[in-house]
Amino acid sequence: MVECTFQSEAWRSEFERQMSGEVHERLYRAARARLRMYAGRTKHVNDADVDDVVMAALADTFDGTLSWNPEKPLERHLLDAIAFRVRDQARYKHRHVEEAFEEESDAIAPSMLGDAGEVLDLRMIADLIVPEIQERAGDDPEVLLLLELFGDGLSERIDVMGDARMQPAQYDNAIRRLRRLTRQLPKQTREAVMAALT
Amino acid sequence: MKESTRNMRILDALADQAAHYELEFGAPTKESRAAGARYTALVSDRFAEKRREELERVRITTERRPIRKSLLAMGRDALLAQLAKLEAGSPTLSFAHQDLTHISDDDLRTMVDDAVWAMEQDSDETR
Repeated sequence: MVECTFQSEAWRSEFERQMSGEVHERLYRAARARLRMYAGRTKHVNDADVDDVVMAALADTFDGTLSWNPEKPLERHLLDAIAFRVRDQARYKHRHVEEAFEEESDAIAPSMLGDAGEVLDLRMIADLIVPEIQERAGDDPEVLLLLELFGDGLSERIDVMGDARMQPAQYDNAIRRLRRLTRQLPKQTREAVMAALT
Repeated sequence: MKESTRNMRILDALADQAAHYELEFGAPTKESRAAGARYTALVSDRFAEKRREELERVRITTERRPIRKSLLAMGRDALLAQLAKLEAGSPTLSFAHQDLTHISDDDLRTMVDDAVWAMEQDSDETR
């Protein structure tokens, strides 16, 4: 069994074997698509934002913050690391602010206020985008059901399909319709998202 | 649960879907290829740095010991005699060079020194 650390030569050999320019290119596209969704599909996301996320996922893997087992697919690990990083940043800040507000602390450090601004922006963006999509999906019960299950915390295809009692083709078609709705957000929503981000 | 928290979860799931869709149906672009090249360079640099560190560690641990003074004073004939004596006294000892006619005096000193050092290490371990 290969040691799961950058210090091991066998680990690095396997990393180099599995890693290719093609995988790197796919990491960029996946990270960009993910970030763009958080930015309401506006043009707010730039290459530097994407680079920050991908390079952080690589650095976390090298320094062992996120352990990669060389017997597992590297691309999957890095895609998960990117998803984790983007989500965790949002979640951490989210908790941070909720705790501060719920305690009604008089002693909120200036740095916390800085974070609060960012979190409220992200929450504001979710509150702008999601109701808009729900409203536009008004006469599509399958899409509304998907959104409901996502809100319950389900996101894996197999779990959502099971709870929604949908067949694979039915699920794929509903996802396709949902995707179309996210691509067709009205101009005023996208402008509001841009305003929240800038 | 607060509506905002549900909306955040939905946004997370939509981000998951966007990434899956891009990987399944998207195509490389000029920007994505350039980014891929940037990440490849970053990884190559990090690996090269690690290899340099390891080579440096090997270099330090295998750096030459100074040749003992007693050997520095020996001439060629004395060095060849010393090697023959070492070989006779230790049947397991063997040298990479069988034909010593082209080996310089300094290299002969190194051979004798390495052999004596190895025998000293063996005798330390068996004590």
